[in-house]
Amino acid sequence: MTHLGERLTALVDGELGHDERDRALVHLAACDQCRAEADALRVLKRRLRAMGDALPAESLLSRLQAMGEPGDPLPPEIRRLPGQSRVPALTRPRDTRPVAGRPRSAAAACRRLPRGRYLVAGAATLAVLGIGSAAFAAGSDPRSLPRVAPSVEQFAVEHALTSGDVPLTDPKPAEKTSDSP
Amino acid sequence: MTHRISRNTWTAGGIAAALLMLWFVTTGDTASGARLRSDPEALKLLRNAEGAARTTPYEGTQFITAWSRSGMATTSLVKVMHVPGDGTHMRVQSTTADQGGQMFEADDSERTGGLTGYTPKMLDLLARNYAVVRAGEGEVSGRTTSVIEARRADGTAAGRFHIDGQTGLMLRRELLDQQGREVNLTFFTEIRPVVPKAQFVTASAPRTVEAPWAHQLAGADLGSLRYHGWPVHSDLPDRLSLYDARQLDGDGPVVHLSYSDGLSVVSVFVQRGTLDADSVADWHKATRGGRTVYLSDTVQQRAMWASRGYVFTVLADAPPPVVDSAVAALPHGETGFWGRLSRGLNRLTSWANPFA
Repeated sequence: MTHLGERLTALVDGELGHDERDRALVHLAACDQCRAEADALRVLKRRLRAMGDALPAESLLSRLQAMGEPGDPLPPEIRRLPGQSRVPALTRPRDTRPVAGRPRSAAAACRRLPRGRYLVAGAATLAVLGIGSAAFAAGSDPRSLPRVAPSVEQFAVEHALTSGDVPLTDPKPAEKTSDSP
Repeated sequence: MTHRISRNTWTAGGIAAALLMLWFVTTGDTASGARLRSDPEALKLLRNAEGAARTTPYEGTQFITAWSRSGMATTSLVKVMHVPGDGTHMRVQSTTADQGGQMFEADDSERTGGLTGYTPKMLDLLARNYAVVRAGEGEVSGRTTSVIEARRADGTAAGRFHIDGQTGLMLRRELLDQQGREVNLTFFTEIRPVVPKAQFVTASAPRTVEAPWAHQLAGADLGSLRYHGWPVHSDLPDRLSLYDARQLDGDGPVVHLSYSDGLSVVSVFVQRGTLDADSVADWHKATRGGRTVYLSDTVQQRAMWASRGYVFTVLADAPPPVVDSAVAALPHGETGFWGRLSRGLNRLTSWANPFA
């Protein structure tokens, strides 16, 4: 008598065609060994399914993964050799594959935009607007300023006295001289 | 490996040294001070001339002339009498001036340079910005003089002084532009180192006693002015440094900021308000740094404009390009949204750091 073998797994998984399933079921009715094996497979499958139901929620997984960012493994500790002044910069072979072809790291794939960035961007925008408004307000020309007629002759004397020169009043220009530059 | 590391170290050290040298070259005083070496004897003669102007009795006639950028020369003749312990009496008898007058400057002030054309503070700036060296002997008004030159980094003379061999008085002073042309010249056409006969006249005649404004502004005062929005610059282009600041108190205070590199002198007078158009009726309109200013080239170069609620009056004994750079560096009135924003930012910055 030929046992069901691999077809037993297909039967438990419901992957057999209609006729083949009928023939398998007929065989199971007559073969204790195959029936016991089929029962064991069904029990195993139920348990596996039960385990699948007990997996944590997707959101919890995401949060847990986010906590682990950046997620890349720490580089191995490299010791300097005697006479070596600095540690080699590269700790692994250079990846020469195109960027598009490189596998994304688990951390990068699951990275979420942290809320802090939005806060920083918002704060910066508010700061720029605040400073701009303050500068615009502070830049206003004060009104009701007095009209000023500078006393140039008085200034000329003050200029001369503080520079060690003769205080001159306002002479009128002479005609252009020939020895002038 | 060791060789490569060693070479890299040398390369990095070389680059660092080159950057350091570049920094020294492109930044101001330390570099110029190290590069321009002055002759101590020449500096001593200049210092003594400032002292001699206060301690030596003399009378004479001083000839002062200046050339504007257009080539116009303006000349004044001044009768000068000095009595040590009393002061200097000056009577302007200009051949080209439409008004003269007489003034008296007391000897009690050690701030002024006794008509030498520089003050002790300016002399420090001169030694810092120029190489002050002896340049042989000369003659002024029949008297033998020691010639001293203030030279730029390229070796050209920016100023030339004649010191009397007997009295130590400054007899002639020339301010030269980059091409070696005189832009300002002061010298004695005659001088007698004797107690002036006209001393009694000096003492008895009605005279206008002139003295710098008494209210001197210290660093904290300047910080306070900046805090309240006054445009007070510590430096102007062409190594002009603020060496003296005073205020004329009153209803509308006037702030006088004196800048110099040791030779050129630029005075900036700042007042709160708007410019009365009648004040510049005889001045000609010009553009400096893209903005409108009013200019008048007399024995001094003069400029006037209004900006941001302040009126600026600049009087300068300096080559025209130096004056132009200084005027362009001072505040001018931007208009529109961005001008107002820029004004406000400047004002906020001065509030945050009044000593900037």
